[in-house]
Amino acid sequence: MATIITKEQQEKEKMVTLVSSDSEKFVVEQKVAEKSHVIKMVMNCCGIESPIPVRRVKGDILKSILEYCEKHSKGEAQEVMEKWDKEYMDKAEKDLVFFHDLMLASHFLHIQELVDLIAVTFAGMLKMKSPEEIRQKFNINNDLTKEQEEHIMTTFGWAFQPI
Amino acid sequence: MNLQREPPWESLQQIAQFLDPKSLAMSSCVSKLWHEAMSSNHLWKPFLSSHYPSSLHLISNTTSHHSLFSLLRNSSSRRRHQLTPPPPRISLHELFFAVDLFCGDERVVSQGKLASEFEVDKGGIFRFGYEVEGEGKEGEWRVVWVVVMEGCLKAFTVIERVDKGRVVGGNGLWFSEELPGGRCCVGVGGGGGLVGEVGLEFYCDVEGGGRRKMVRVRLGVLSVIGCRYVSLDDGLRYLEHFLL
Repeated sequence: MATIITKEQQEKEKMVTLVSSDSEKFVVEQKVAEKSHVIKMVMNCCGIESPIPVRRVKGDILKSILEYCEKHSKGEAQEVMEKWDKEYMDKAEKDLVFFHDLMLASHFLHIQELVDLIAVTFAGMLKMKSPEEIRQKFNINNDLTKEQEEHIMTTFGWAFQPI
Repeated sequence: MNLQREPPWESLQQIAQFLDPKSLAMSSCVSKLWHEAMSSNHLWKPFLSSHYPSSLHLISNTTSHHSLFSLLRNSSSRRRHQLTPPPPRISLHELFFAVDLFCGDERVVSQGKLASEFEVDKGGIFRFGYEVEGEGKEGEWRVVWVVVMEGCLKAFTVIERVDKGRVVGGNGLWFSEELPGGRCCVGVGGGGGLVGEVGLEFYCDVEGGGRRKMVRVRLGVLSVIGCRYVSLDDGLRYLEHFLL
């Protein structure tokens, strides 16, 4: 029993400082930072004594990501986590620029659970939408030539038919 | 709120894993990058093997999974939605109906005019009528209805029949004859599944001493299946085979 407490205490002491691209500092437990495969590798090779720069991620995004990692390092019940994830995504989805940056950052930091969660949410946003609706929602430029577009639309003709 | 940049290829691949075939197809039409990301074989292979497992044998180096899946889906959706047939190539204004009715040796009614000048059914079915004045007779009838194409180069006999007819109700006498199959694949090994029909309607003139008078002639083409009149367009498309 005593040894376990000591271990936990030791764990707690292991804090690491992460610095965002806009120089915002975040002090988190090592096990939280470890949720990112990339940061884990950096910690493994360089230690946790000096601050780790996360150059490609801005402060607001990193803050949100660390909030996710912290929640997911607690080992709570699955139902609790699913509910939390849903609320987390509902909030993120409201601001598409933020959502997009979150997606890129989760890729960059290699947090597989978050990458999947965002992908599922994104897929849900594409459901029942026509190509034009998708372009409008995500401000995507249609760079297909008329011939290419016609060819693709003909190939996928079945998808445009009423069920 | 707009995105400044498109999701990168890796993200699209990730997202694509969670899409159903229809959403995947729609997403493929968005842009070049999206098309590239959404048409990878590994995304479509599970759909192909769950919907059309046998088709995996058709996959070659030149066939992509998404195009094979689409080929099969397009085919089944064509089957379900039945491609609308082309509009008829002939119209009622080009057809001349010649109807001759004899009872015994006596000619009872003769009528010849453009099909469009008959009473045309308002519900869009191949059914026509006209008023006549004739005597109701008893005996064997000879009923002839010929459709002649404008210019008198081609003709098609819808019905030519000698019999007593079929009594329908108190005042109707009907004649019908199965029609031949068109020159296409319809009705292989038999008729076209169609029947030409001529109906005579009588009126019992009580004041005139109870004499039966013929008041109307009806012409139509029915489908054997369900005994329904065919649509005007289907009737014209059938006649096309013989008149063009």
